[in-house]
Amino acid sequence: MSCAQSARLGLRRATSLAISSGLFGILYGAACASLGISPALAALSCVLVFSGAVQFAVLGMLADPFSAPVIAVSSLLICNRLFLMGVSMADHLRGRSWAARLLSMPVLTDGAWAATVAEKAPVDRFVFFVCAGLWILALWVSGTLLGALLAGRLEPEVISALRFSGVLLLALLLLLVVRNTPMGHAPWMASALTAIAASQVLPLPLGFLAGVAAGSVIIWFGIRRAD
Amino acid sequence: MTVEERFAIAIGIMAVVAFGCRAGGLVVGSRLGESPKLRRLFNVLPACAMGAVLGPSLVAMTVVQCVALVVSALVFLASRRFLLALASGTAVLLSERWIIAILA
Repeated sequence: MSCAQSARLGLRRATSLAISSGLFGILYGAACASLGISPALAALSCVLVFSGAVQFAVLGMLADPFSAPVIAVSSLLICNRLFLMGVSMADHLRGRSWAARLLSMPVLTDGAWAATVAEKAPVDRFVFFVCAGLWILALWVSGTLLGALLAGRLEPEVISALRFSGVLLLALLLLLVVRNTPMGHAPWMASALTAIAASQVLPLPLGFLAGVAAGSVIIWFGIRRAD
Repeated sequence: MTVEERFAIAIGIMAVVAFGCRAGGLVVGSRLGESPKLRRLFNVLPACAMGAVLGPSLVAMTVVQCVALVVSALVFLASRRFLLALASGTAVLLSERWIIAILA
């Protein structure tokens, strides 16, 4: 498939994910505005960070006592999912220069990763991934700007609904990947259940790590059994 | 220090950490070699990470949020339309006050 066709397919496949991100961006923009952050700075954070989970989390760390190291450690704990996606994407981006691959990394998110991994057509995966990621980023930024401008006009019910739609988005991304890859349900279910159990006794980030570890054990046994 | 100044510092930190995680993963993934076992493991791990993030959120769900999640999943599995599924779930969330009135 040519670059242009791959680009078009990337945009098309990512459209629903981009709109979803845009809706979530509205909530982020409104949250930024409620703290007195300008729409321009909120949008800049989206462009430079492009990770909704860490951006939302850090909004709660701007009050006294402000601590840059705490923000750095929290960001690292929340962003480790991006590391795993980076590892997974390496295979899809082979054949491109290191500069191109590294320059494409800022658009790596749950949505762009899921769309690329789930794509079965013989596309130019680099072009597909970059176009999908840029499209999601464009609507994420637009949603944030809209949310910042509409802040105060949004009803509490709408804000509450948008907040949970982040969970819906993640659940649907998971279903998308599971449906289109041979991974099966066991690994992610083991991760989810372990994270639930571990988060009862451990801080949430450690519960998350325990969940990922449990999932990796299930995958490893699955691989060995298949061999 | 104003909130915007603090946020600007936070943006710098988040940007470095987020890019470092993405690029670090890419570098590690590129050096994994051709081991199909490791490759398969690392291809599935991000989905496990999503599951691990989702799990604790699901425990704290309200009844309406649970209905919204089930509706979203069923619509997606039946139609394969991502946006339709998300819109259905969000519609359930937005109609919370009516659902509660009906259930009461």
